[in-house]
Amino acid sequence: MLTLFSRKLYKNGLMILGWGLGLALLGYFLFDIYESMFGMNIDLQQMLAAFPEEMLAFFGGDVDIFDPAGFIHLEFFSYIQVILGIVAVSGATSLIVKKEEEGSLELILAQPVSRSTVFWSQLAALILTLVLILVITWGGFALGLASTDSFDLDQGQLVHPFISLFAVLLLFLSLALLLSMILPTSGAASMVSNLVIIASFFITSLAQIDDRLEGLNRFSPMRYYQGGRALSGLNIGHLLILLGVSLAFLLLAWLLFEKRDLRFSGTGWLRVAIRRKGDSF
Amino acid sequence: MTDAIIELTNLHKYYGKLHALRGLNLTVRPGEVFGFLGPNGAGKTTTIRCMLDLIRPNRGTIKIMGFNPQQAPQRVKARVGYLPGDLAMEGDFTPRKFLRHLRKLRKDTRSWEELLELAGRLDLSLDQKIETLSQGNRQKVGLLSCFIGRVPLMMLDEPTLGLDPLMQQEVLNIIREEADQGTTIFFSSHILSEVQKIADRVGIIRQGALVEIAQTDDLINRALTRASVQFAEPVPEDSFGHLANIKILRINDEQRTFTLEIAGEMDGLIKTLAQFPVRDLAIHRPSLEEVFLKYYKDDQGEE
Repeated sequence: MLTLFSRKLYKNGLMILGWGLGLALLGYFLFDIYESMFGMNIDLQQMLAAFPEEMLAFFGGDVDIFDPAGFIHLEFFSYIQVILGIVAVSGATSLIVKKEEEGSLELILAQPVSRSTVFWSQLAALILTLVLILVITWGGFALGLASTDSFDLDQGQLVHPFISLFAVLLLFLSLALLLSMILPTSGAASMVSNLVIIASFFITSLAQIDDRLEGLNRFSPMRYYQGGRALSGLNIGHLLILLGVSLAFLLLAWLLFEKRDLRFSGTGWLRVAIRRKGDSF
Repeated sequence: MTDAIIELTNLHKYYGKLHALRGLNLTVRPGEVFGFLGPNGAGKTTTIRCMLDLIRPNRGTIKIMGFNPQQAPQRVKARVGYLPGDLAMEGDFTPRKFLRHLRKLRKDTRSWEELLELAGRLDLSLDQKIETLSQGNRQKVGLLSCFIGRVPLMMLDEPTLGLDPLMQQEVLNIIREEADQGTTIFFSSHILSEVQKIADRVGIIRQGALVEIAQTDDLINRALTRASVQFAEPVPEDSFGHLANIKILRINDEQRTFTLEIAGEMDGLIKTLAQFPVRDLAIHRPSLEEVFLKYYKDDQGEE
């Protein structure tokens, strides 16, 4: 287990550093940007008032940009779940199915390792990859916060939006992994998962100004993502919903991988291994 | 407990509507080199993948050293070295790192020195990234991976694929040496000359079912021998009429050259030929390839 886990984590090393350091720098400088923008308070308010309501809805809608928490949400947490969500989807669809498509999983599974070991070791490495990216990013935010007096926040509060972000990313990851076990190719799973992310973003954003979307919004993962709003308190209920659905998706993906044939070219698609009468397994 | 190291009974495998294995029955004995013959799509690779629990049969039973791969996959895989036919490896590994990686996944492994010696025999550089290696060199890495564990059974799917003739011979030598140490070798191939060289027994698979299984020599001897005889003067066509096991295939050169097909003993033919002035005689024993092709030509004829 440790061999496969450490190999995967090693392969993700550049991804961790690239995304982590990049986002950490962005987080660090956000605090400087806030201080410089604060002086232009009145001009910005006039400018924002000129924007259509629909557009503002995509950047948080109800949040106040001049409030430190609102600013952080608007400038980072209102969109980063989409960007990192796509990264998580890419990682999840490459985790098992892409290796099957490339053929490299065959030789690994011919060694005395179980499918469960392969599945959970790869998954653990991917989840840790996301966690490390978020921890490094949080480090940048924490340094930025320490360097300013303009924010009435403590370092502990700063962790909350990252927890919420992690939960929604885990859901996108687990959805993509599940879809990769059902859909014909890793590419198809990526496409559908990314569509879900984009659609979820639009639905939850537009639901703020159109009540008719509220029914649909209940099924949107973004509804349960707090982002910068978590700075003023983490919604444990929303967090548990995201984590619970993620866990269900992961268990289902694992069971499907356990039961089905390894994929090779020509083995067809949309074929979930269902035990039929007379099957010997 | 069974004496067979591989025992397949009434194995069926469907890929959607495609019936890839149709009641395959096969037994391989410990210590033998078993050649599994068949053209592309006959079911060779599917059979091997079922034996390693990479895919699951729809019906039938598999026993590898007494274990059912669907119920005890780790026990089976710990006892088997496997070379896939469609070999693929993560390209950012060097062969050295890849082999070390696989070595960590096994318990009872050969020493690193033994693997280095084999790499030397295969003339394989271990420190170039796999993605930059030629197909032949990747095949060598795959072959080495089979030798990582100390296993009683090796399943090799097209082991000489992509190798040059000299290296093919070296690989066959290595396989034969491994068999001499007591390892059972189950290998699939459609290069029949190499099967003929090293296989103790062969099984021929056609459309997912075994159509023949025999000692390699028996299979060849069982087939008809051909003789081409050139006489110094014309010979009457009915000169061979009294020989029941002889069939005249062709007569050329104004009844001076005869092409004959002989079933079984040659004694009658030799005695008959002695009555005439023979200028040249060529006996052609069929290769395994011709035996194999016969099965497939028959099959096409049926279709």
